[in-house]
Amino acid sequence: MIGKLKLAVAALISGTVIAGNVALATTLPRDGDEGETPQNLYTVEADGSSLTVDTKTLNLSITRGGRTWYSGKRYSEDDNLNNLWVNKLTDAITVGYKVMSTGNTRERTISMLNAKVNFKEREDGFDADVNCRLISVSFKFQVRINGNKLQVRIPYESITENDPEENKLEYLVVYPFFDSSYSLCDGGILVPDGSGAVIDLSERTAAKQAYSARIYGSDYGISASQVSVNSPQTASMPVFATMYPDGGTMFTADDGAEYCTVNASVNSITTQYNIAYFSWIYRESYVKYYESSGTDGKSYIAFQDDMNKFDLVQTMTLIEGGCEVSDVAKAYRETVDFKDGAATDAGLRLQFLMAENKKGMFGNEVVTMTKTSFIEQVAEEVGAYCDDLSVSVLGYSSGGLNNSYPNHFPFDGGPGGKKGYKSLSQKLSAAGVKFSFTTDYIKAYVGASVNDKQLALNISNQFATLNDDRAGSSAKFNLLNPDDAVARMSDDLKTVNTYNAGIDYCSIGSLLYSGYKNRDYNRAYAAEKFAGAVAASGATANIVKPNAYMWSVCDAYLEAPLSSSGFMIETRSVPFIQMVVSGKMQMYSSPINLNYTGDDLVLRLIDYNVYPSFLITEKDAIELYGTNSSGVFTSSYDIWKDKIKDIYTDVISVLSKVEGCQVTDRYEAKNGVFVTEYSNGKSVIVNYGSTDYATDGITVPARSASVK
Amino acid sequence: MKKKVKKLIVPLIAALLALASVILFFWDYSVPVMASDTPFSDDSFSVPYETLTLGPNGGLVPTQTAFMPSGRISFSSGTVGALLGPEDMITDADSDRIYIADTGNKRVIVTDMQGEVVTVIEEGLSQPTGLAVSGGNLFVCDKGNKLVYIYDAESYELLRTIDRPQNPLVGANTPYVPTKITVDNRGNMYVVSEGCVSGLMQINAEGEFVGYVGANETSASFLSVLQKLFFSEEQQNTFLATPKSPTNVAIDGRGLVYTVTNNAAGNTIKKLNTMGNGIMSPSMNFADTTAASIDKSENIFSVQSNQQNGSYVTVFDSEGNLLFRFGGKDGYERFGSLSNPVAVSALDDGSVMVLDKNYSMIVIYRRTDFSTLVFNAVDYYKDGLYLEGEDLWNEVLRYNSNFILAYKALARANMQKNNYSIALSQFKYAEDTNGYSEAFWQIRNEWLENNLLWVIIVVLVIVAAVIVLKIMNKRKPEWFAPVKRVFGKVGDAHVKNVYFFKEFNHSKRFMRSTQDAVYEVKYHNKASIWTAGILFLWFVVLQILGVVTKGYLFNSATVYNTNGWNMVLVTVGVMLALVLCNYFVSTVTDGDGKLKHCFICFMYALSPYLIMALPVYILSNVLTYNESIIYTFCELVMYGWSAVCLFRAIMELHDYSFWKTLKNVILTVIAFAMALLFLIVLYMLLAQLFGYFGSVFGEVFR
Repeated sequence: MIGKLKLAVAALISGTVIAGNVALATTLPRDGDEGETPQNLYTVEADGSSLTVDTKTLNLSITRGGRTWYSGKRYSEDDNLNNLWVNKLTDAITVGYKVMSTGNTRERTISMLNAKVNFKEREDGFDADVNCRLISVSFKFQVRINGNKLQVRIPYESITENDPEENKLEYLVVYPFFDSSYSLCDGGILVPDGSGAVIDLSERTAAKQAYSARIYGSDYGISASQVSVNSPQTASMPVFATMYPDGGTMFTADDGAEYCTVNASVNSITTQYNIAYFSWIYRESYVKYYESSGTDGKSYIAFQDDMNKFDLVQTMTLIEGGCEVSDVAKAYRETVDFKDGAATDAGLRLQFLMAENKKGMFGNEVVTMTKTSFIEQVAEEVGAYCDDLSVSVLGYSSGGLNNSYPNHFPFDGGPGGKKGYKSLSQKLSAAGVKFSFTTDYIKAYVGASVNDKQLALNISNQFATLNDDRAGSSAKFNLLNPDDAVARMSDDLKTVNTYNAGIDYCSIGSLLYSGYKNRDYNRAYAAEKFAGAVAASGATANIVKPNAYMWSVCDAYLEAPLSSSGFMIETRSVPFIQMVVSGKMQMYSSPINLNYTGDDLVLRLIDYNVYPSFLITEKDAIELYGTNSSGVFTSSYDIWKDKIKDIYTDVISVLSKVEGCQVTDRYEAKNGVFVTEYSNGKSVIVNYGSTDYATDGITVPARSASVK
Repeated sequence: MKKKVKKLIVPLIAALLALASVILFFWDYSVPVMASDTPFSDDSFSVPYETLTLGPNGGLVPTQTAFMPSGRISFSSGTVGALLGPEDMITDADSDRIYIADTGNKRVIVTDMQGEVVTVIEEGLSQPTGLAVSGGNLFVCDKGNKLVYIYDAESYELLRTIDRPQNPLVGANTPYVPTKITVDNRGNMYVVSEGCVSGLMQINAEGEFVGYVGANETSASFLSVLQKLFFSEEQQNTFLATPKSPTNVAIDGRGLVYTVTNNAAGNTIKKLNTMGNGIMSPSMNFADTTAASIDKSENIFSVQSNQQNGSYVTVFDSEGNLLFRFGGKDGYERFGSLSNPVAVSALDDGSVMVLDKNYSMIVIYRRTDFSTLVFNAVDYYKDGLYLEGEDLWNEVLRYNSNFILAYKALARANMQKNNYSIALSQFKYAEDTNGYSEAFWQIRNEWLENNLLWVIIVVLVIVAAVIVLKIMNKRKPEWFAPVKRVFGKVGDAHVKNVYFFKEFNHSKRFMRSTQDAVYEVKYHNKASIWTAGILFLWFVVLQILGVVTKGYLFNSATVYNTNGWNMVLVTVGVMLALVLCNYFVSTVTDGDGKLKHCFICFMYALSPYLIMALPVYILSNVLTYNESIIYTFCELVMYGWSAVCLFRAIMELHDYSFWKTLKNVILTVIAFAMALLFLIVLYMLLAQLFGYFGSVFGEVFR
């Protein structure tokens, strides 16, 4: 029996692997080639899955439901892989390390590092103590199989560096070729870019760059990178997937996601293989200024001294049968927590810019853009056709929007002052309209009144500073320490509650950073602190572009992405976030009036199950010229009121039929015609094309949407 | 019976309700949305760039997305293989063909508009870099072979080649390296020859050299002026600045040729008339422009390639007003971003194709509803159909309140409708001062027409009243005694003798007889430092009033682009520095004046300005450009008189001759410049010092 098993495994696993690198490549099985019988194999059977592992290289394969998942399979000898890539394919772990004497980063696999692997069998997987003798780095490698889930763990505490003066660990990659494929083939790779994107493997890409995105964005405590108006969208979920007609794999970073990068490369970019993997970052290079002010510009490239503290936990969920985006969404939804009782009704959000400050001849002057009494009128007017209206106010602080954050109260008198907001909240409450204050507790305008001790210091001992990513704004922000930001939130909570209002959180759900010097904290701490504070506030929490760890405390998802970043390697955008979140919370768009590209946008809202949102003022937007809100170039309610009604009516006529429902499937029925199926059995058909689409007795005219 | 009917009606209604429910349940909730022929691209919701348009103060401001990426043609997965360093691309609407000069692969690829390859021309080609299609022929510039190839655009057979023109005008040293070409309807070829500074080579349909057109000019720099002054002709020849050679060429539907000169100091894009002279250039110049294409409405689509600042597509209307600019530095290789755009083609359906050399692909952009609206409105505007385009421009403003051209067009429409007040405010938003002047002239004219009679009557009445009162004052002075008691005795001798009035009155003396006035200051203390101080204060206030009270047409500053505190600081600093410098210079050049007298005389010498400035500012509010001569004259008098007074004051103050005074003035200016330099160096040193302490503080206490 054991012999038969070994023979079977021989056809599946990636070859006999010993620490002799070039020879090793020639012994790997290729497509249709059973190869030589590998040695040092250990097999575990667990809940329908059969895991076989090479005890030296830790290369493995899993057979489940008639399909085998390889952690590294060489398809052809003519694949032009060099020595390093062959080893990456056959070894479980690739190590990136900095050679301190030269300052260069090197990438080698454990075999290439002359690793000693002390393999320990377990009933549910295996443990391995890996000692990379060439660089004196060792760690524990734990693999567990549970049904269709394969979990890999490298505990932080187990990592030791015995010669850090010479070599320092920079990053680790675990099973980079897991469920990879070769050359052009049917299937795709799902990456968490924006709303989600699929890289089609059946077409040769014109891209020259692979996909690489840091989960939850850059660490502004270390990175000098800046955001801009059209920066690529953040990977807000620690997930990606390989999808093939006969099955696929969902990869999730269960712990340490804050230090993780998603990478995907397809044939003809680096190699002929289609691969996707997480890189786990333990240290980064950064720009160190000689002076903390950095004004003289003199700097050098330094390397993080201490390792980022996290346990590497990566789970591969094996998906059987034809694997589509909706299958991955279903699998991922099971791993995510959502807030209980969050509203899911089809709604409309109006955000009002109350006041902004403008440069005058002898100092700044406040331009009042909207009065509270005007909002009352608008709410009454819109309330006549909208059952679920959310009103949010922005720039209500003394002095207007610019230079206000992180201070939110007291109110500016121009729009109505305390009395005006009191009246507004009462009237909105009586009319059943949701009311919220737009806040930003982690950004402090450079120039705003705030104690320097509350500002985050980056690793170069400078204030962590970000540009304002709003169009037309030249403002800059410093980041606040999470503890201080949360303290400010708590202080404001009493005021917010007085007005029976919710809170729209900007930045807190989408920015993560570490702090240094005497405020040491890491990204994981910041994430925990932010989520904890929002949960503890008890107020309705609407969060702008929340990362996945904030979903459990989020009532409404604001500024939902309607596409991916459009990297050349990506074939198409998909509403992956929407598929995961659907039925769990409301999702609102970015202000439509500032992004109105035509009626395709309305179809997109329907297709992606996102409700419309507008940024509105009472006065004409030309009053904002010369302010940091000059990017708000059209906002007058008088101008937009008809369009608001039309867009809301169009969207709601379809989405109200599926409100509160989860997406079960989505497919392209015809070029430009997308069908999304919901848990209540209804289907939303969106026809972006220029010809009518007919199905099951229903005709969906060109450029329209229908519910079936 | 009634009961039976009731019994029937109840289930009937119930059945109808049930039926209605079923129908509603399966109802096709269709949302009709505006029809469009543009093909759908799933990626088109992702725009990796910001779109800008011309905003107030001549700056670029954000606007709605004007063009969205809608497709790409790369050949990476096709049979012909990927492009390699392509240099040019053109489209032909008549044959629905795209022609690509695949330079690195030594070939020209011909495709249909969807990118399906029709044929590949490669025989004999070495380095094809420029393409044109006209009259059923395809023209290919081959930089490597230094030839222009002419093919039949149907069969792609080579018809002939154009070699170096044998014409005396083409000198032996003139390079003939054809890189770009365009051809008009008569078959005239306009060839860009690399390094040829004489302009485009015009070659007729028979292949004969006709002449050069569209040569660029050199601009006279300060350095070149100095070189002309001080160097011999022979020496000057070594510095001779040669004009830039055009680098690309385009043509519009009327056959007018446009040159593109990359990295030109002046106009990068030039529209030429039939004589080959430049007649129009866009209002904003982008030196890194590499190519241009003119659409059927004569809007100019241009591309800029810049590795440092990013690459852009910039669209101008036919008059050169900037409509849209999108792109920027991306570095992420995103759909729609550009790395090195080398060719652009504006298609008849409104979309734009851009060839990117680094990405080796064509990126297609489609118009959004917003830009379609703008282009439609611009069509009316360029034809002068302001009223016809009014609704469209109003719609444009709905989507962008900062769209300057819309205000300009609407103001013109309102001028045609005699709504001058509205036009006036719109011209102001549009910063169209000529339009503003026209509108204001009309408003003032209307006002005068309606009120001139009353104005004359009021003036006459006032004049008559003054005359009568003066006569009565002489004959019956007792009648005016109570009035005099109430309003004081202004004009009476003892009031004139009050300290301040007396001293201020000395201004008159400065204006009439400066040297006597200075003498009286020096030896009779006719003016004190206090009154001079008050005049100084008034001088500073006038600078601020200049911003606040000057008429729009004569005021280059606004309260929003002026820093009042800076203005006060600079005015005070410059004035005091000049006084000090003059004093110090005078002490080493035998001057007699004391510092106190220097200050007093400087301030009093400015009396013409101090007295006239405010009335002139106020006057500027009722003048238009038609009467700008009045304003200019007033300014000339004001400043000229003050300068003369100042010169004479220095002369008398230090007891100088004319030439010595002139020398003193020049030395004062030099001393002032040196003081300024010293202050700048001091400021930099202090900044470094504070920066150093700031860093130490930051390191220790943060």
